[in-house]
Amino acid sequence: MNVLWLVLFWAMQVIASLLFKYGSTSPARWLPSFIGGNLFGVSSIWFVMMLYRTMNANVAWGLGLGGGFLFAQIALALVFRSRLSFLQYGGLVAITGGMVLLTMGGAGH
Amino acid sequence: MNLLWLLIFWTMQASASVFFKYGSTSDARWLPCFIGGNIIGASSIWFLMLLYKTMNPNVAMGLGAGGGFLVAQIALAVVFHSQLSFLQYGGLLAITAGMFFLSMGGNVAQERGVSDVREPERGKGAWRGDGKGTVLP
Repeated sequence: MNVLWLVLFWAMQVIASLLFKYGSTSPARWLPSFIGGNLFGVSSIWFVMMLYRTMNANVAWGLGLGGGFLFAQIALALVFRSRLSFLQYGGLVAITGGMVLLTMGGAGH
Repeated sequence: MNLLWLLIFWTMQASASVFFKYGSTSDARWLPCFIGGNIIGASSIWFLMLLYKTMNPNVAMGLGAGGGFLVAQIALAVVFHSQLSFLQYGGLLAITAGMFFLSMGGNVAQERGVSDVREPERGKGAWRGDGKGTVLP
């Protein structure tokens, strides 16, 4: 089941990110997208809590955060057709790796 | 203005994280800090959306989320005197380097697609995201 919770969390994070960007494209969409995106974002934590029940919390949060960030970036690039340089894609990978390292690399919490 | 929005976003993300951790230190603080942290965290998205208006979405999210995470981790380490491992310092370095590459690594920062920005007709305004029209000569 853990894979399912993780995929659901990532999916909700992606939807939230897309809504936030979509809301920024017109004043009429601003508030509904802000509220909708936050609803998805806050609700997604439910699935992380499901992961916490059976997984190490650091590993769960590292996978959730790193994966959510990466998939949200890919979704934003695809849906809004943004173009980045090779170096910028490298930057995104470095940020994702850094998030995972920082979350999972603890000696103990 | 983007730098200001980014700084406010990072500050609010760090404040929310400190609230959540502070709330976990006693039963009496749990609910107020949970509510306070969520209000600050959710509201901070407003500033991320302001960045989306004028920046490439990938760069805005990378700088916002990466920097917010970095500043929150540093704030937690300073306020709650937590010690980071060698690997975690590596993570801090990777995020910092990633943010540097993301902001300096390219000048292609255009996005097209789902948006209200239409090809402006000569002499007519097109919404530009800041509430002001862009009027072509």
